[in-house]
Amino acid sequence: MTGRDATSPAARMRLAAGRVVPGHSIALARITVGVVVVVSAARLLAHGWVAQLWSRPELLLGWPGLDVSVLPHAGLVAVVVGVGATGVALALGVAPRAAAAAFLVGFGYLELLDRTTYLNHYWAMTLLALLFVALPGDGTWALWARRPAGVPAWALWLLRGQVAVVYVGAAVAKLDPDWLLRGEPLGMWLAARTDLPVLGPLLGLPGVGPAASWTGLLFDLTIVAWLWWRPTRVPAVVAVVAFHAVTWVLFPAIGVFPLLMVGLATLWLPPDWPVTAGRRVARALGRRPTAGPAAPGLTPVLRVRRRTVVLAAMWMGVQVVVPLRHLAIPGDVRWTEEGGRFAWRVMAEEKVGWTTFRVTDADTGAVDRVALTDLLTPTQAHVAATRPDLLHQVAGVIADRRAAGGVRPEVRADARVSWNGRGNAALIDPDVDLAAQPWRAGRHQPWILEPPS
Amino acid sequence: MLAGDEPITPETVATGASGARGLLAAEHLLFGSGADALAEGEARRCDYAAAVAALAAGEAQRLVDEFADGAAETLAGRGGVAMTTEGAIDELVNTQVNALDDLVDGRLAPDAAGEPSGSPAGHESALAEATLATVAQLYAPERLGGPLPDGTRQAVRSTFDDALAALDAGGSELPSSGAAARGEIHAAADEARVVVRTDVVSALDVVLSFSDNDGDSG
Repeated sequence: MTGRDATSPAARMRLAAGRVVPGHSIALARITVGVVVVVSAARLLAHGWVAQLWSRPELLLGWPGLDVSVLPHAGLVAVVVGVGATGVALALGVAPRAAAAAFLVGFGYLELLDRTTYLNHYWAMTLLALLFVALPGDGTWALWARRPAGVPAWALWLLRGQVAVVYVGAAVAKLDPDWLLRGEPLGMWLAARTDLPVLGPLLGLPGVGPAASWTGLLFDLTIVAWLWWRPTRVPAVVAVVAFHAVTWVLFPAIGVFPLLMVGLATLWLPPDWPVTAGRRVARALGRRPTAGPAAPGLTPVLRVRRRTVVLAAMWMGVQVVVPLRHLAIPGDVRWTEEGGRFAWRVMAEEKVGWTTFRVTDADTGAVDRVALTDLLTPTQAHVAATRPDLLHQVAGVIADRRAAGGVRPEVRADARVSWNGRGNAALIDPDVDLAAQPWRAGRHQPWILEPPS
Repeated sequence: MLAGDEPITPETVATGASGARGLLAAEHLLFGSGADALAEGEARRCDYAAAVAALAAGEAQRLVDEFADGAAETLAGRGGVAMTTEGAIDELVNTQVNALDDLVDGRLAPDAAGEPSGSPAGHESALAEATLATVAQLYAPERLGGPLPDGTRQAVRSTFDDALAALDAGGSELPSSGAAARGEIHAAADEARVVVRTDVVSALDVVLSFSDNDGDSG
């Protein structure tokens, strides 16, 4: 690197990216993810969700082209236990990169079994695990890791960027008239929580819905900036803790998501903040703090290869483009759900649906009615009833199962959906033989009807 | 008990087998085999029906009294099933949804109604009317309709009124109604069911018969 190179902004950034920083904040993020994985696995086992989600359903709605066989119940339990074990390894720092890779295999298998189990925070954990596999290893707070302590700054930047995408993506998903002007669906949700102690009576007051909607939007939209700016960094972390604590109290069904996001928000604090905070606490308690540099004996600056820069840029590019891909598909993603997954549309809308299929025998013309719950569990049906791709998949299964002599029956769907408090409306053209429609991947399905105004 | 000659009183019925009292016995006496004799004033059947009704009324009143004395709170506290308002609404709506599913997908389903059901005359029709009317009444403004938005409450009222009107137009004996009338009754009842299953469930944020998963997608 020449002296002239070092003065250009790109060169200075590359130099800064290669600077070795203490690995404590990344280690804390790794521990957070590990704990969240353990808690998630424990909840799956303790609540009997392994049976409810995967063993008991008569039909699993897998991802097209990614079919995987479902294991017997004991095998599924073993996979969940294994996933929990990878969380323990991540948290303790036992071969963390291998643990993250093993998590991806086990958790990825579970997620591939049934599309109705997709959750945004599961996707976030998957992406973070991918990063933990790909990023340089770090021995900080690790029982068994081959690398010494300390990481290049770019690894920290990439993790911060990933978390920033989640917050900003969640904000962008809420930039719509329902959220901004009607204060829905948050108004409906809060009005149903009025029996909560202390907070409850306030939730039924007029104007709470719009006020809470705007507060939530501004938080998601700006919190990364507040975390980034040094003067507001600590108050911003406090705000993150308060925000996620309130959401957890109001909506306990969001499960481990608040814990994950609170832990990850600390990535913006100085990389060795746990050490300095520990020293301050020790001093406050009148004890002599343990001394020692965070990452002794490390090269202060590592060379950042061009390949690393390109891959990191590509990763972040994908993280920005994928959540916005719905903009390239005609129709309102809030209604069509086309491009709605992997897009951080976290609690952005309230939809409840009910679908009955009309199955017309090709020979006799006799019409039979099949409710979505005849094939799916209530949990699956709750998700599938508002998602056209899943209804299309179910229609195909019905046609395949009832085909006689190679002739499939016609399957039409009476799919009604209530969306953000509007009266229910037809989601799918009831006159279309849904089972005969090809799936136009990445494009708008013409049989999805217009949303209600 | 109908065949015997012992006097039938609420006390004698109370000592009988569980199948010989309660709502099952009432259903049999009112609609079951030989129910026509009731209309003709058959004394023993009348006594039996009156005893069953009196017994049921007494049990219901005892339940009401004990609840009014604070037994409900005691029961909830001791049994660990203390219910929040939200939980109670979930239970109520789930019960309604199950009843409506049973009605629309079972008793009123076009294929089922097309067959001679074997049910006594008027039974299915009376049951459908009772189910629809009961659910509709629950959404009066002073009950579950209170927290509903006006539009949703209006949708509940109009769809259930339509379903009850279709049922009324179909005559009192559902199995012998014409296919067209049965189709209209089914469609109207299904529409009422859809409103409860979508608009009401959404507005009251009801969880329909499944445990909360650790989800984040609303």
